[in-house]
Amino acid sequence: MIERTVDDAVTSDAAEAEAERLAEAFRSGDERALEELYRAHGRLVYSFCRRSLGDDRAADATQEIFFAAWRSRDRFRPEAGSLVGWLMGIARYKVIDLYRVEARNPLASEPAQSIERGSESATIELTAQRMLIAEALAALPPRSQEMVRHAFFDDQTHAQIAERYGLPLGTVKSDIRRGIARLRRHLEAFDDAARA
Amino acid sequence: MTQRGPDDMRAPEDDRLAALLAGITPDDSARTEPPPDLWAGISARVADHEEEHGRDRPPVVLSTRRQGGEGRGGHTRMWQLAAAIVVVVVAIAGVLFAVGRDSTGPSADRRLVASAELDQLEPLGATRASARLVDEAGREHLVIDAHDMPPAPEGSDYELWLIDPAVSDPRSLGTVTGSEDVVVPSTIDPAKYPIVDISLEPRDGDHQHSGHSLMRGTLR
Repeated sequence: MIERTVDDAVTSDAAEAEAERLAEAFRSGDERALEELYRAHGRLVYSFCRRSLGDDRAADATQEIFFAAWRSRDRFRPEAGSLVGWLMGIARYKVIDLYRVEARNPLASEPAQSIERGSESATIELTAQRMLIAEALAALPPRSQEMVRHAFFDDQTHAQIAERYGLPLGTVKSDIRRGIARLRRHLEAFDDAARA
Repeated sequence: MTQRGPDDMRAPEDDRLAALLAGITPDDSARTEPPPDLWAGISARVADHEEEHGRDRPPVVLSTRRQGGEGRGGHTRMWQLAAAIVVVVVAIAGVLFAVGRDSTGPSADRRLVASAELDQLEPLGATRASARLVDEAGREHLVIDAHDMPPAPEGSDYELWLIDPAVSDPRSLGTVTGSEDVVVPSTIDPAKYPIVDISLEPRDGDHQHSGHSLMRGTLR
């Protein structure tokens, strides 16, 4: 892990620059950017729809979400967070709306996941956020991922993590700080998304 | 006992992140490959939308518009108004062209099935809205063109419905904010539910129609 330090930092910066470029191209109305966004995160959106609405409706819902994101692209504010976070923010509203349509149409088949009435919006909202953060965590450089896990899951102190990895305390602190800052940007954009 | 430094303390906003991270299950990381033709569907829909509405058209949905810089108010607003009129005229021309194309063009992939002007059931200022039912590759879409529709009041949403002639069985098509293009679920036959209705729904968890209809028209 230690020898990956420089590589990780370079890869991570390159990934961030790439995400910024994609966000800018998307906002400016470049249809190729929409395709790139789909290639990068279509599986996330589709898997979220499938889990919340079932197999039958997942493809339609995914189409609705990407179309809605495209139509309201000028509402995306890069300064408010990541594009995938914003996309999942829109996905959450669309899925809640579609779920409500199902709930009101007795002829429709039951959604795959049985969600208690009244709490469905909260459940869908939480699922969207967890799937988003799981995706974002996996996109962090491997060492940063591990550090964030130790700091949050195992509740270890920075000093303990530094000792465990034999790294300078300052390196551990900056890894964790950067990792958390990235995850936060996804949630900020998620919160910034409006019904589209 | 472990000594915790100031950096080990979490910022309050990270409590939410910590709770999310702690709650992640394998299901949250599991991914399913979408059907291979899904992107083609999205791409076709986007292309259709761009063709119909033209590029660089500002969204019809009214959003809170930022005021222009100080000291340039009158002129700026005049120009904005003039520009807005041009945009609306171009948009209307575009829609007329698209509708004409729908009914005549051999290459049209969207066919106009029926349309309706929506009447205001209560005063809504300058709001105008119409609905078109179009068929695209065997799937029906309800396309709402709304102009000057104010944002829904805080704590409420606009909701789109299709209703039967007896007005006894409203079927929701979800919330809307203005112009929308909604796929009509296969469980709703617009021939049996021809009334297009936009209602105001308080966010109270009640899935039934609030009874507070704002605009309505019948697809013909």
